[in-house]
Amino acid sequence: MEPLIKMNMNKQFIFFIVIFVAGLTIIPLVTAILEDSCCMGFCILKSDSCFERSSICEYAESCQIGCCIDKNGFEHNNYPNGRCVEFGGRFYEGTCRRMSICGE
Amino acid sequence: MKKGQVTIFIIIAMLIVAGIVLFFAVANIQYTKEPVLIDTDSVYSYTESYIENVARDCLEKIGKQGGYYEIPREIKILDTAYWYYEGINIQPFLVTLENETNKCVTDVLKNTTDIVLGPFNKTNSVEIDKERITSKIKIYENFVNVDVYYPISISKGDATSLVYSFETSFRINFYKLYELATEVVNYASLPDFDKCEPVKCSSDDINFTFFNEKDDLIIKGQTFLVRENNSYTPYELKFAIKRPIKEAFGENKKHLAVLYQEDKDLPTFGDKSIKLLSETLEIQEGVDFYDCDNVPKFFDNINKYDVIIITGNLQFQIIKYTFFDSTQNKNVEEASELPSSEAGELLYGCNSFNPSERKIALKNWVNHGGILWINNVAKAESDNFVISYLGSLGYDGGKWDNLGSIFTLEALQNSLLSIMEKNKEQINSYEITAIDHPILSCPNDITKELEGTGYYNSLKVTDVDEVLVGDKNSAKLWTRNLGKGVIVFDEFVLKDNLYNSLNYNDDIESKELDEKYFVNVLNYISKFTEYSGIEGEINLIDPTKDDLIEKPLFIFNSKLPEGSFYTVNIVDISGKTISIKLNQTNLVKTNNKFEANLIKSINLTQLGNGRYEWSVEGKFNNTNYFSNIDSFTKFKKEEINNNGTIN
Repeated sequence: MEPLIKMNMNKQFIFFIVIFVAGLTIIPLVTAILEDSCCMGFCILKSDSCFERSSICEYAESCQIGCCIDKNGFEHNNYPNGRCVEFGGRFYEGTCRRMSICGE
Repeated sequence: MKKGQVTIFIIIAMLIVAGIVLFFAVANIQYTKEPVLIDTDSVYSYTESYIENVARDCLEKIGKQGGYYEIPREIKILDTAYWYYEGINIQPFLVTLENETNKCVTDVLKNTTDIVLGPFNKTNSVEIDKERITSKIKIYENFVNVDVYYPISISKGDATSLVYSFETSFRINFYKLYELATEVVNYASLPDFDKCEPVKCSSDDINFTFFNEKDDLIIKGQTFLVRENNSYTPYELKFAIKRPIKEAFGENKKHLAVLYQEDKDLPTFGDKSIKLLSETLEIQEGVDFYDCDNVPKFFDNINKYDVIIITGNLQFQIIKYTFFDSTQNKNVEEASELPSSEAGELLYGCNSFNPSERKIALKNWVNHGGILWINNVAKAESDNFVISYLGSLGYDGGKWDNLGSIFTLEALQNSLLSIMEKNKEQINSYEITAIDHPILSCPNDITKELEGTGYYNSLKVTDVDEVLVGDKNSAKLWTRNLGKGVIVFDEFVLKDNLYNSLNYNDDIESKELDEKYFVNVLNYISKFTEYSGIEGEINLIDPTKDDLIEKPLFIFNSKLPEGSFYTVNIVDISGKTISIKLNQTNLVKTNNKFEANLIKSINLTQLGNGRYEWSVEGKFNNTNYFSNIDSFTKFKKEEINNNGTIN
């Protein structure tokens, strides 16, 4: 009987390991695909593939909101990181330090 | 043959040869050059003109479509594009606008070669290599340059000519237009963004217009495009901003406190206001809600808020009090919404603002720059100081209603309902006077819809109030500046718990005006700069906190520069203000400490006994500075004994 129990335990262990490893591999893969597909664009709720920004894109680096300085030197506040870099801008976290607001 | 004859023949032969050569040479030039030159020029100029038109059309299209040749589906709105959408700035870069214009010009030129070919193919063989058409648009500070590669070969007979390079430019202040538009979008990302005045700047030849369409703000920047022939064409850069009011509040943004009362047995509607704010308008960050029990906690934190809303009839209370009835020659107990002089025993409701130190605290918060909205002020700010939120504003609103001497809830409710039926009125169209005021018109125009709205109270207000609905003697919606702050008052209710039973449907909730009205007021009250909470330049030293005074001696300190002017304002319980200018005769200065002896300016005997508020207003270089507000109490001398206590 003993070897049988051992075998069952081994099977369970292997099954657990397989699920665990698969989980470790698949979850980041799915997340990465989702992020890639929806967080490289406008990062807005209206986007079909990224309908719930708060749950997917909020934590994606490409949808991180900050200050973007474009190639012409214009500062854009609350700009998504991915979009900024994609179009050749320079991104940093936080509020734009030198943005001008007319009338202020 | 003689030698001379030979020479003549040679000369004649040479002349003939030269003539023939010359004839053919000239003929050849005429054949190969002249016709082709003419055709090339006309083809060139026709094509150039066409390309210029295409480029102009594309520039206009890109401008109107928010910088896109084909607007991405997810950001499309009213044939333009969002540049700001719920907290995220998605304004296309200038280089994107150039690229999109390129796309447009190239695409249109490739698909319309027939238009260029049409007029020439009868006399010439004109061919365009459409696959090689490209364009390059560059936006410079004062002009836009369009460089197009458009290969056309023109053949006639054996001759072929090739033209390919076209360049045109438009004088337009596009760069500046984009710069100002960027500033508008950046402004939308700030907590004090005002949807009703989203553009605070313009330039010589640039003008912005805007309109609100539901949640969307459509902005048009307008300038002129000048073509090479100096003809002017209006040019428009259009984009949209979706910026819900909830964005004004949150971490590192504005902080909002909402004070309310909710009691299903009373005419209160706190829950409805909260639902509207937190669910419909989704204001969930940067907001704290305080019911009646938590008002003391609110006062512990008052200075962390930029905006405060009092709603749901917070101060509604039913008091039991005793008076001597001379007709019956005995003491009689009655219930009232509050007796005219002193507070009695609280039967129902909330009396959280009855203590005067809370009124002063709220008043000083406004005075230092806080923005307050009292929704459904009811009668709270009228002549009875005890029940008011702020006190001493000079408002008058009639007497408090007697609810009878039966103290059961049902009896009191019935009394309230009958009073309510008696008092109920509706707003007439002629009372909606300030139709351009943002609270009535922006972002939602409610001037028409407000007509017929029911109300149960109105107050007589003062000359320093701006009445938006009603008039000075019967105000239903009005604003007041107090020091550096602003207060909005209204008499509008959401269908409350008790009055629901009367089956009227003319409150702002039943008329489906509540969301629009709340958005308008919230937009108005969140546009002001954040509350600094910093103590002012002028601070009152004595008297303070209802101190008893015998002499009109007022001490304060000031950090204002030498040469500043000061005025002491004394306000009695009904809001009547006495202002006394200070000068060398009544003001003594020691360092930063000022002692104003007003014995020659006012005679204290002129002031009735009771509580007064006082403050100092300073003026330097046309800027007004406000002290905090404090209070003193004046009693007749004989009423004060040696210990300083009242007999």
